[in-house]
Amino acid sequence: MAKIRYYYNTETCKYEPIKATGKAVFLNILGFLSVSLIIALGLIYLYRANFTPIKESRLLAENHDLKVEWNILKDNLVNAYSSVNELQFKDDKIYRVILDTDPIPSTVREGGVGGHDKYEGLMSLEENQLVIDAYKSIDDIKKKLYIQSKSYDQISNLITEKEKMWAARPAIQPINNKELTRLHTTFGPRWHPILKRMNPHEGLDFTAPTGTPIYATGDGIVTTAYPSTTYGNVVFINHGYGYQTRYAHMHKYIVKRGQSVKRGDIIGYVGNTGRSQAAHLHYEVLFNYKPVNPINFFQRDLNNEEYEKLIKISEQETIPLD
Amino acid sequence: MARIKYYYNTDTCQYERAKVTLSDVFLNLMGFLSVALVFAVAILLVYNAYFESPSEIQLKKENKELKSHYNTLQDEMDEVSEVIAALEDRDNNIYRKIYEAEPLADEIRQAGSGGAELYKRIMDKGLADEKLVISTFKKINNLKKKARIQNQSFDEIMHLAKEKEGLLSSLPAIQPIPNPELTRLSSGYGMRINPFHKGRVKHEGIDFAAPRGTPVFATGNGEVTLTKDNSTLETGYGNYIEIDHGFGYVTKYAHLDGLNVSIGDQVKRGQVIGYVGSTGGSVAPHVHYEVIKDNKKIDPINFLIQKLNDQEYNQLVTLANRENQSLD
Repeated sequence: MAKIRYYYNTETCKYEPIKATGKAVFLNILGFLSVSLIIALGLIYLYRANFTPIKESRLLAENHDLKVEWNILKDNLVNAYSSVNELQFKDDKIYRVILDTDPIPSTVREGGVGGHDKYEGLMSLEENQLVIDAYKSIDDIKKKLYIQSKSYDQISNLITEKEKMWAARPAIQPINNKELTRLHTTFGPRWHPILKRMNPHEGLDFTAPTGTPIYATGDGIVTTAYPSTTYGNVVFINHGYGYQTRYAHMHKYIVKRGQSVKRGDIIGYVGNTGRSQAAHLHYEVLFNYKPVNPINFFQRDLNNEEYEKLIKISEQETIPLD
Repeated sequence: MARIKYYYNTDTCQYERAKVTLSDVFLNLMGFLSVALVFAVAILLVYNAYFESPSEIQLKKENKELKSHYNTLQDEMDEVSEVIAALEDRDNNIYRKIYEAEPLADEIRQAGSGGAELYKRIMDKGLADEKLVISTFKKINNLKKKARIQNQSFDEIMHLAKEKEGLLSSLPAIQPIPNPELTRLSSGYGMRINPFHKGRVKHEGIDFAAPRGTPVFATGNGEVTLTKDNSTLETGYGNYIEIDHGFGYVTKYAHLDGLNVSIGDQVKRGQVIGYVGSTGGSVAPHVHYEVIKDNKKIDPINFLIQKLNDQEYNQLVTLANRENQSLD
């Protein structure tokens, strides 16, 4: 712009060069800059309106990722819920039914989870519902898990009790007798050949050669083992739960008072001691101190059908051996 | 600046108006824009380096909070998962103790319908191969013929059923107790572990476990032919009922607590005949249910199909097939 500019000076009627005063230059530059500034601001505005600045987009991406992770957490919560519900279901509907006990009441299972206030002040951001729900769910699940664990404690105890009880019942035959062929005389009043009268016969007689092993028919503790005049060599076992068993006329016994026995342990051998006509085992079962028919209690290798037949057969009279 | 400007034209030796040419304007504009651009970039850079926009501040805060709560909850979640795994272990152990058998795999419980995928693949492949399609068509035709023959005997049976009036309503076609979530079938027909002496014996019926007092239904129309009440035995069937349905079918319901019918009563399918108990040789409250055809004990599962869809019936069959410990 080296060109010199002139203006027509109306006073001198001459063309005079335009001098660039400092003030003029300054104002020019100022004007120039301000316009540029305004345009700059305009550009910035346009930019921000249509593009996201890098920092912001990075933050947005991070935000998005975090939300994805939260959704995964939510899914895991849902899975956890269904696992817990599955456990509850089996507990109430299957195990407790078989164990003959009541399900845990739903009032206990659902029992109050912390009030709203606990969570409200938690966060200030918009998405707080997502987070609050998650906290609530976890608290709820933890409570349910606690109750379930207590329920399992109860169930385990029940199972242990039942197992002990089933182990204690006189549930097998005292001598090896698959077909119950050795059963000679049964429970109930019988005509006694020696005493010549009807005598209560409060047990079962099993004929067997002297020396045949005799088994404890349930877990228990030996309360007596001694030679009696009527019973001969006899062993008494207390099984608990009201059950006691007696094994009489043994040739010899190999347990002593106070000894613990398990079902199937050999406690002695068949003999003919005491008031007895022939080598046999006289076996009694007492429930709450009253003699009950031992045939009630064992059916090894017999199914219900055969067993019922046997009961019928055994109700016929025979001559007792003692 | 309304002043008119002149310049001295050396060619014409005159003062002429300085015209504003287009290129001048253009250059001016470019000047403005470039400086503006420089400004804009400078401002943005400075701003970015030293300030944060409101949305940035917001986002940063949100991210921070999301992250910290996420970490807390993730830790709790891990803890919860461990506890759940431990409880699932206990659940399996309890199952084993009760049934003396391994728990069923979860996949079986879902009664999966994975069949569709398989067929889709075959279909997609098949359509591309003409020969395959044709041979398949032939096979299908043959099968159709066979099925028509089979159909005839099926028709015969249906005919018989309609003829023999009452066969359909006499068959033992329902479960003997209400079983809403199919949880009550405890042990099925076949070799099972006896709970008393733990040996394997033939279990000739199905055990349905239920709380004491649950009503027991007649599973088909018939007549009560045998009852036993007041059983005091600790072994055997306990209190039981036998119903004769005719056509050679008899059903038996054992270990009952109480009876609701007497010998000679005519009963209809669904009628309450007694209540679940644990009398006789039973280790848990349940009904031991038998189906006897022409004096032979057969598997009741083959009959109790009424009111069940395919999936439910399959679930029952799976439960019945477990070689576990029976309840009697």
